[in-house]
Amino acid sequence: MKQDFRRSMGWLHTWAGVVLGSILFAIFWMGTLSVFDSEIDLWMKPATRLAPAVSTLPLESFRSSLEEAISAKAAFWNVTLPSDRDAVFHTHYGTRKKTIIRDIDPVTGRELPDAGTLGATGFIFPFHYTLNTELMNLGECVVGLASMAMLVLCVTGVIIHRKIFVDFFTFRPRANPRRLLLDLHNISGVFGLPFHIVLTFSGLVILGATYFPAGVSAVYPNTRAYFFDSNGLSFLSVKHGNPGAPVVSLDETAMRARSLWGGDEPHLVLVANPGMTTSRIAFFRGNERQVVVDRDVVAFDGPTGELLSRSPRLTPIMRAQRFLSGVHLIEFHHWVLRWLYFVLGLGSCVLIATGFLFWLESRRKKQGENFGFRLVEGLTAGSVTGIILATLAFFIANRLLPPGAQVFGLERAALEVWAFYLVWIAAFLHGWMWPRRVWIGQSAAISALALTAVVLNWITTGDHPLHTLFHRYLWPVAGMDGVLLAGGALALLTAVKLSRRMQNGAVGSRPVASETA
Amino acid sequence: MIGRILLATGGGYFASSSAMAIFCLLLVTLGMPRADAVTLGIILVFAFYLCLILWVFAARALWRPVAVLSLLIASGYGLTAFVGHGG
Repeated sequence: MKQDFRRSMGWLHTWAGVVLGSILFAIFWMGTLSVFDSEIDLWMKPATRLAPAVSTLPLESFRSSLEEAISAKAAFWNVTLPSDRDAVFHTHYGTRKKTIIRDIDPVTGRELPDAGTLGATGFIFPFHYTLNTELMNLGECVVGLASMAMLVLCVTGVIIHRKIFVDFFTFRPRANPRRLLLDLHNISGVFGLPFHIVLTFSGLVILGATYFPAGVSAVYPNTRAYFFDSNGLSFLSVKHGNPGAPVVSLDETAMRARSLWGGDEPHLVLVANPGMTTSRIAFFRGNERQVVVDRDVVAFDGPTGELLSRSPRLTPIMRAQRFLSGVHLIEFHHWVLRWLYFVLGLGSCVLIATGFLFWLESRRKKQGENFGFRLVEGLTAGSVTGIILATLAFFIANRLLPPGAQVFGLERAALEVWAFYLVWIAAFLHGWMWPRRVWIGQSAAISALALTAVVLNWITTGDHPLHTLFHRYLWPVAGMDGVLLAGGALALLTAVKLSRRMQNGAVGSRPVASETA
Repeated sequence: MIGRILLATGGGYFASSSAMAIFCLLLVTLGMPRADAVTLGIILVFAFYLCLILWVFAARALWRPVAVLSLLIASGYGLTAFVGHGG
């Protein structure tokens, strides 16, 4: 009976992993990069590489941007204030057709030139939970399914594991490739188990109302009502109103919000329905010093400046949910923990990649010529080294394309995304057509592209690693260049070892330790 | 095996949805604020779904999960049809 149970769990572990592993790798890879989304943005938008301002600009200096939003009949306008991860202001306003985002110099208040990129916050982070597929929430649903599979994999992985404690200390780098892969899979799995489970679970909870609307629709008229109610945003559910109304001073209302918070600073200032008689000004407190995402929102009536509401204190259940979101979203500022998230995220990538490779190595001798085997072999290369290559192509395209570039009517930002997809597809094709040397080829390509990205950053911006290392505000750029160089070196090492192994006549390929980018 | 996969993912999903709807309605009837009830439901439903999936794959005889899942789905939909949406 017990043996039977273990076998069925083993079957589930194998096939859930093989079928959804590619999507899981993409999610974990993009999530790992999103840990440093602001820092990658700084690398991709050189104009925003500015030293932090000594004193913050008054909010009224954004009045012209607000007026612009009013005349464009925007549904909302907002401004994000600088923080120690991001030195510049960002204004957004959204009309029915599009959202317009601008970066603002924190000292002069002038608009910075448009970088023509989605950056990490506009592409990598949304890719993490939508796979860049907006068709009817399809991407989010696939991510949800893959996350459930991840939970199943974690539980079944523990069940089929016989000697969890012994394997924790077992690593045999000189053993045969299959044994080595399994050891690596076990170590990254067992060591990172709390991380895998907590991050997957909290990710599901964040999008819980999308995945399980049944609970919401049982007691609410619509999802919007639940969203407003649980976030303390009920002040937003108002009629559209009539145009032509003024918006009172943002600085004066901000001062009142600050005094309500006992001196804390807002992180975001929102004007909903700007210019309408029903406009609302809302101040969102920053979450930099706490894990719980407690968006204490203070809202004022736009035309009169009358205080409308302040978010109620979180109930214990809401606080638990906000703690889970906070653990996932890492809005708190803590450099050591942020790096730990990054390293653990790479550990998850290693876990998924070695799982794939172990599946391949255990079957290579018996079914190496089968169609199914070849299919998974190409899939593994494309989804592991392929997505790393595609990400590097995204960075390189960012540095190579001239400002305002246009090809076939596609804007510069869209071209970068095309570079990502073209390289990704090419990596899959490479894996299917030439499986024998695919790992060597793609590892070598990773190291070449990583080095190219660093050199291009130097050439196009003049910020070489030695320069960035000696300026505190350029450390994020130095960090990104450093990780690119380290990842490139690791990839080169892997390629060299693999090709030596191949020359020595050993069959099969060795694992590619996750290259970082 | 395909039957099990469909039952685990699809059947498990709708059964957990129903269980969540019943749970939320029950809590709200007992006087818990709506936002709290739904949020608690969201936190718990994933663990419930996970257990259902594992159970479908581990069960020897498939009729037991089939019976329990259909019962859950039927009662969930029956209840929301009676009480109506938006409580």
